[in-house]
Amino acid sequence: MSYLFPVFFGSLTITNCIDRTLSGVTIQSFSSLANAISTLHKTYQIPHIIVTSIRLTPDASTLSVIGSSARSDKTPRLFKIDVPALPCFFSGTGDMFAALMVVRLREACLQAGTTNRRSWTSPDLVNATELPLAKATEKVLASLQMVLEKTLAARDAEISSISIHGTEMSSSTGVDMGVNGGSMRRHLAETKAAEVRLVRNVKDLWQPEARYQAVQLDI
Amino acid sequence: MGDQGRLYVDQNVVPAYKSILRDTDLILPNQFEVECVQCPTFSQSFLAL
Repeated sequence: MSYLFPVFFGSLTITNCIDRTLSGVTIQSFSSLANAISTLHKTYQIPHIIVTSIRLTPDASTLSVIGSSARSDKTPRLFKIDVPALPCFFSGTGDMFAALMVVRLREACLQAGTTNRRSWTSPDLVNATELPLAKATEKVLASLQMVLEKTLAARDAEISSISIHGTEMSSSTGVDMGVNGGSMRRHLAETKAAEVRLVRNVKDLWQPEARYQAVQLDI
Repeated sequence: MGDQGRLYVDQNVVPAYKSILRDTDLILPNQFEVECVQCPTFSQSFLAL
C-alpha cells in the first residue's frame, strides 16, 4: 500500500451546495455515484474506493456505504452496505473509520492472500461481496455503529443531566454552566457529550458483532 | 476536505488533493468530497458563489 488518503466520515445528506447549474455533477442516485466511482478507478487509477455516509434523501432512515475494488481493466466491483442512521451528528467518526479500514483491509487481504499483489488487488473472478474491501467494511461499520450507539446513549443521559442540573458544574463534562447557563456553554457541553466514546468501548473495535452484510450493487 | 455541502479547507486545497490521487491505493471520501473531485471547475465554482 503506497499512500492513504483518509478523509472524513460525516453525516451528509444529498443536498449540497454545488449548484447543478454551475457544475452539473451533483450525485442524486446510486447510479450517478457508481459512475463517479468508475471514473475514479479509470481516471486516477485508484484501486480501492469507499464512499461513506450516503443518504439520498434528508429523512432517510439508513445511511449507505458504497465500495469498490477495481478489476484489472479498471471497471468497478460495487458493493453496498446499509446501516441505520443515528439521530445525532458525531464528532470524530471520519478518522476512526479510516484508521479501522486500514487495519481491517490489511487483515482481510492477508486472509485472502492478496498482499503480494500490487495494491493488494483481488483477482478478477472475485465477486464484489467477497472482496477483502467488502469484508473489511462490514467489520468496520459494525464496530463504528456499536460505539456510536453507546455514545448516543451516554450523550442523551448527559444532555438530560445538563437540563436538570443546568446551574451546577457538570461532574462528567467539567463544564461550568454558570447561574445563567448560557447558550454557548450549553452548546459546548452538548458538543462534548457527542464526542465518540472510543476508549471505554475499545472491545467493540476488537470484536465487532456480525451485523452487516455487503450486497452487490448492479447499476 | 469537506462535508454537508461545504469545504472545511481552503478551496485551493482541492486541486492539490486531486494531484496526488494517482499515488493512492485507498480513498474514503464522503459524498460531497466525491463531487469535489469530479467537478473540473470546482474551485472556480466556489469563487463565483
